[in-house]
Amino acid sequence: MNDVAHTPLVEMRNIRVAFGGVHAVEDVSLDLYAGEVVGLVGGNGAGKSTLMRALSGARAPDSGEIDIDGRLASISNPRDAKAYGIETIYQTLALADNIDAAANLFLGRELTDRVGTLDDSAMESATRKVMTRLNPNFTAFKRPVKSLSGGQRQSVAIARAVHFNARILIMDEPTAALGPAETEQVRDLIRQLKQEGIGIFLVSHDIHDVFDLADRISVMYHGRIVGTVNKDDVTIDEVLGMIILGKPPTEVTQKELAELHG
Amino acid sequence: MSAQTVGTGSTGVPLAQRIGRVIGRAGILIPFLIAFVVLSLISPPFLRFGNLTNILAQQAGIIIVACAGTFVLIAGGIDLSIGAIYGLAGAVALTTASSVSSPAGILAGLSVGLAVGIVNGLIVTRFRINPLIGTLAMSFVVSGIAVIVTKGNLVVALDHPDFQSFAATKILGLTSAAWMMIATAIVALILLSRTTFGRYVYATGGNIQAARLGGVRVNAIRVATFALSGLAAGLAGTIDASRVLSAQATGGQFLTFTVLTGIIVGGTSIMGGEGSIQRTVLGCLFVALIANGFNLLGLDPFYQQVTLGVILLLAVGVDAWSRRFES
Repeated sequence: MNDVAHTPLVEMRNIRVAFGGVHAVEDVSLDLYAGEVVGLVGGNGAGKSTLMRALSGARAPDSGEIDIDGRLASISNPRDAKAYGIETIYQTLALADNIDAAANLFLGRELTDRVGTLDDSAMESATRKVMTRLNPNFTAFKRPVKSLSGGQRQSVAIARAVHFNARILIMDEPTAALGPAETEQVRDLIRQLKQEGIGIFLVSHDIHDVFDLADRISVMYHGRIVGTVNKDDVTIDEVLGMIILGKPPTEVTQKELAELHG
Repeated sequence: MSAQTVGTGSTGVPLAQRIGRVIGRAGILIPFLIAFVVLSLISPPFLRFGNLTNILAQQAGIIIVACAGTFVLIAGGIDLSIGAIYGLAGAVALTTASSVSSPAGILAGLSVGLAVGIVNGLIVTRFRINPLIGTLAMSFVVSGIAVIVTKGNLVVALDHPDFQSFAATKILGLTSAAWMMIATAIVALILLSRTTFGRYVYATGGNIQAARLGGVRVNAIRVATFALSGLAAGLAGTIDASRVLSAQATGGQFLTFTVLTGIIVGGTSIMGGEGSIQRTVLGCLFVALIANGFNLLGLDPFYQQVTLGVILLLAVGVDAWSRRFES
């Protein structure tokens, strides 16, 4: 974070989410500033996705508060989240395969004409416009998205966020299903969006993705935040230590470190 | 996202694949036209205005229910209770018409259908019961109620000819039943292809999770499709009760399967997410043409059932085959 505003774009305070008796997210606080990428890492079941689902409205938290622009927000479903400018890009589940790119881009927020019927041509031209910016090679506007490649599908999902002027973007494993070239394109896109002042939560298993893109890294372990570090202050090994051992680098003993490398 | 070429043009695409795509796109239109032309050639009475309008009048109820059923199937559900609703609605409409008044009878028939449809929707969404099982169970419940209401008798109201005018009034050569069918098909066509509701029906059937995350109230959409289906079955039961001034609890015994055959032969996917009103109407008319052809040619009705069964299998097989060429 260099010269960002003093008020965080997002501030999540004391968030708890429980499934039955299991505490998936336990008293987590996290913030995000405009133009910043915060990487959220941790092992399977650490609670990363559950925490992000609370922000995207997919699963309301059991307790805790979320501020957007310093004001208490009420997010209980995906529509609420979108109203706050929060858009989510999922690894899967994001697109309805049987409809085309424009229909997916506007899903839930369709454009209609004066009589109230769908304005498909307006939706298609808006889709073409945003695609020209994101992915000039994209031409498959008329086909159901099931016939698209993983990268093309991901660009439709990102286009949706961009078109609706997302200010807060949640990317849950955005490159997990992509090949190397497509991954690089998504990374370029993330840098571009960051430049435009969008705040991005990047959930990823790929530590290199995170180190390449994030300004700060928050590590989760068993539903709690182990620590949030500036990327420039840590090494990949230190972050891996946090992910695996579940404690900040300062608390890791020499013995544990040796075992980790053993 | 990448510069890789995707098979957009048809250049270099194998012939079988191109044929597959064309057949997939044209769908039921081709067999429908073939059946129409063949019947016109081998049976001169087929093309008579009287025969064609008769087909339309007989199909009115089936096509009305099938149009609504198309919404249910595209949204990923199925409604096996339409025949039972049809029977109950017809009996209730006729009883009410003869004891109160014709408008009250019509209203009662439609209300019964809508009410059962909403219950179906709630069973599937609120109680998370598989639609196949939920509506099958409801079909027993509703049929049972219909038998109780009619005491198992045929309900007749031959002394109420005014109720008959609901379905049997001739307007421009067609009966009001046929006009209601045409109106239903047009409304359903616009609703499904031109409105946000229709878009949500497709999205719900295509990927319910994505639709929900997109902000679509998927459960409300699913309830609405079952409500439409129930309402349509209620309308169809009322129309046919009005047409012949009699109704029976078991009157819709075969309707469910006739309707599903029409929808699926038309090319709407049983897996959800795909289909259209045009295809459903053509599918139902195609099935009707086959039946009409058997009658005109004086063939054994037994073979008619065998033929329909084979056609249904073929339709599903061709659908699966042409689907392979889509991507």
